[in-house]
Amino acid sequence: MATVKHRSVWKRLFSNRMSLFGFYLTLGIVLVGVFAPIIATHDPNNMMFDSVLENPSFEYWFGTDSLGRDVFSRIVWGARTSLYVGIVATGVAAIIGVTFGCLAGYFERSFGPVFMRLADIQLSIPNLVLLIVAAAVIGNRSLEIIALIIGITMWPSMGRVARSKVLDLKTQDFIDAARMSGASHLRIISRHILPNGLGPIIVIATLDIGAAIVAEAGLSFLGLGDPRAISWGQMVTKGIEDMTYAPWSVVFPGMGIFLTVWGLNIFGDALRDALDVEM
Amino acid sequence: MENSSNTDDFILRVNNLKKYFPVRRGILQRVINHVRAVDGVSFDIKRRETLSLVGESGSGKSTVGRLLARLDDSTEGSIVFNPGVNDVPGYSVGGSDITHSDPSTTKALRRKIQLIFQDPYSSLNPRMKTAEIIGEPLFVNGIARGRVLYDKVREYMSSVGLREDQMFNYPHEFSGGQRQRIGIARALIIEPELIVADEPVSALDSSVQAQVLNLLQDLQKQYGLSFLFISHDLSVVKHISDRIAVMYLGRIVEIAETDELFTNPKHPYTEALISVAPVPNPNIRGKPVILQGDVPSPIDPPGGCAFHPRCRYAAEKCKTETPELQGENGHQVACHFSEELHLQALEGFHT
Amino acid sequence: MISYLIRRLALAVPTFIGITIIVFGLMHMAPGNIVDFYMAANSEAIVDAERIRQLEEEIGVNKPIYVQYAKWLGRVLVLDLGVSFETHRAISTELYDRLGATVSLFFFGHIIGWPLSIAIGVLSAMKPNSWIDHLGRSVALIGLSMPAFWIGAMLILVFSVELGMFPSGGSVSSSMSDSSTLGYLLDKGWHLVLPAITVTVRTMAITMRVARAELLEVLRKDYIVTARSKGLTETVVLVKHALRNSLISVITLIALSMGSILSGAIMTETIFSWPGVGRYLVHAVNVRDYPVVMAITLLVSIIVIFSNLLADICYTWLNPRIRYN
Repeated sequence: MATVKHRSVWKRLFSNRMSLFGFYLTLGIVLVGVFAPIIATHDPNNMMFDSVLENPSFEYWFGTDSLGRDVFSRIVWGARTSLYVGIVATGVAAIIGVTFGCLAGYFERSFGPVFMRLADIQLSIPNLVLLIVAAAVIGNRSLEIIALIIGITMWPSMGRVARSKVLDLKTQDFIDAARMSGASHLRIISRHILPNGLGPIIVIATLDIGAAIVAEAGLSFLGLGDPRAISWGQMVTKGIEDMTYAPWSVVFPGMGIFLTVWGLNIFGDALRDALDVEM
Repeated sequence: MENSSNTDDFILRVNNLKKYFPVRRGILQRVINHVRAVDGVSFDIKRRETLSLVGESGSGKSTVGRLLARLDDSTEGSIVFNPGVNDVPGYSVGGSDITHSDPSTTKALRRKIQLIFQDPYSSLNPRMKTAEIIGEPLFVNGIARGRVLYDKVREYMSSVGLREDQMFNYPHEFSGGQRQRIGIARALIIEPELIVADEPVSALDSSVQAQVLNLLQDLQKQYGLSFLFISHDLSVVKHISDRIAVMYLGRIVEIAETDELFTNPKHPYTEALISVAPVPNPNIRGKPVILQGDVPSPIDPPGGCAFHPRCRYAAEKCKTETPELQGENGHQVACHFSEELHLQALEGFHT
Repeated sequence: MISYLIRRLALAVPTFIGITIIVFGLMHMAPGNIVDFYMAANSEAIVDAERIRQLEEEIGVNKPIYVQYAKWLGRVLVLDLGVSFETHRAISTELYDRLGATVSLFFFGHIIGWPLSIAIGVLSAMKPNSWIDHLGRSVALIGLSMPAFWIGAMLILVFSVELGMFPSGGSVSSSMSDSSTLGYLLDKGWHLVLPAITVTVRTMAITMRVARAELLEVLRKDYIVTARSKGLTETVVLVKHALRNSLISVITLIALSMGSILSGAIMTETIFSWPGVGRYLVHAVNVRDYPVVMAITLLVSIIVIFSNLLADICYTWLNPRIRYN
């Protein structure tokens, strides 16, 4: 049954303490990212060479790094970078994946096999390998480009979910009814199929934001990120060099990644249960 | 086709219609066989007439409906809409063969042929409001928008017996019967000439069934509609049909006017269906004819008369020769022994 | 079964071709002249016009792209992966030297990780919503949410920097080269512990969740209900009916997550300076040793294709209800 009663979904979603926790955790990090300029106590790029690798203190909550930059402020700004990349990449993956998946499901015989081959090809190259290679050959590694290539590597999973949902919905009589009404393919896909297939796509998107954040951090960790961005992954790399005497410079940025992704994963799981999505 | 001079009286003429679904197997997904869902069906529908198509599940009756609505492509045969009319202003399907119509013709055709679905749950988009569902045919065909559209929707909601103030409710806020009324309003709003109703009441409670059947009859009179009514249940179609066609394994085995079919069935399969149909007074029911076995597979139908393995009158001839559908005065039957057999009619039909 | 195998193999061919096109295309997109990179990687080479022309001829960059692709594909098909820009050694030799380290990391990481996580998953599914279920699920979700490089960094911080229990990187101590065999092996094992844990965390988290979900799914099926109603003990139901059927899916899903496992290995090898193929890929990318990058990408993709193939075959073979079409 495709009917989902909105009220009961919210009820199920927020009756669980764990999912509430995930929701508030995610919300909190989004707020940190949005209000980064207000929350940060220092200029994240200001190098204070007289206070290099200082211990956490009242002045520098999470200490300073080897260039004398305030770790707390950099983590706050890093939230913005991570969320930005996560959301843009997921948007790209969703646009490509949902478009291809819908076409593959809707035009099952003509486009379906082509789609499956394309997805197979890309799923056979591990995402990180593809990302590393793509990031290496692309000279200009701005955050936008990074987000774009992460999004491109993530489309197949979104596409597969969209496709199977379309195949499932296509057998419903209301699709035939729409055809009888004279609705075009575009209208059938956009007004009849998509609104009813949003559940799994939202769940995948929630989890994909987390995956994209990890991917960006990983690229930055390997030195293949945007060198000008304030990135949690880069902070971990830098921090590892000074780990022996300044462990905070590696612990806290990693905590940032972990908490963000954790919140999204908890919330994504809860959404999946509440929407009763099978994947 | 006994008479071709007064084709104006017909809205639809179907000739030797076939639908084979391929069965694929193996490495290359070769087609190894076919499901013969519809295997050479011919009939016509007069204007303002209700023709019922009756048969067990798997008889191909629903597929016929989908072929007429062009939801599936037919394998062979022809469907001619408005056979006597060559040029009807506003659409181009009059008189032409629509069996393989192109998308724009199909779209024009669907303003003239509409479908009522069996399942009132899966046939309504759960994410659309009632007004959007009912108004969609007008909207996508560019006939009405905005206020005009809503006025039209209100008009049709009241003619199918729905409250106008429910027009912004979602389908899940309605009962099964009400949902079916929404589906009926959606089919009618574009002012079609022919309605294909695919088991429109079989998913409903029996008390609601009668209401919806009465509604369909009223609407037919009000809008001058022709009906193809598909059902597995003779008792449902008995009161609303002008003529009844009985289908078995993709073929019509008997077609006659309703009274004639019930009082003078000529095919053993019709006899069996009549004998088990529920009647108002069980005491006057005849002896039920219980069919042996199941409906055979339409992938590999029995040779000769497809009904012979289950027929209590079957003779040697029935296993080898396929009987043609033939007869006089509009009563046609496909049975070698239709003249010799004296089959049991519906007792007390006229009481 | 044979025809099913042939069909699956046939489907792997276009996938493989597609991968080679992507890899080759990406490399072709690389900025700059490939000859420049060749020269840069060999700073001692004498640079003059004649030498550059010679090199262009040698590498084939003056030919149309499809000719270059066809030539390259032809060599790949006969397992000639070419020569490293950086070291001038055959790439197959370079890879061979490093494959052992990666395989041992993968093997020791998962030999404990898989059975352990399946066991926890089964316990979780047997007593849904018990404390062990909640704990297992929470830990799995936490494991899924931590990037491998940070897990590695934290392990180094705690066990190497703070406690001094394990080395922070490398696969063998430099002082061990002349030591006895047993000492050498122990030293290797000692170096292996932290990377092995790191590489397996994510797999364990995935496996646990899958095992739990699959077993729960199977336990809901009619034949389990039937088995229970026949009066079989819970253990018999679980072991003979439920576990066997859910294991098939678990194994399949593990094989299908090979790509993700290999991605984790790259991060792990990088942070622990583990001399394996993953770290070599990152190194090759940084020095723009393109033939090596192409070779590793292909190698990894082929491993993924084959594990998917194996998973499919296992699934079909172990599950008699699936037909081969």
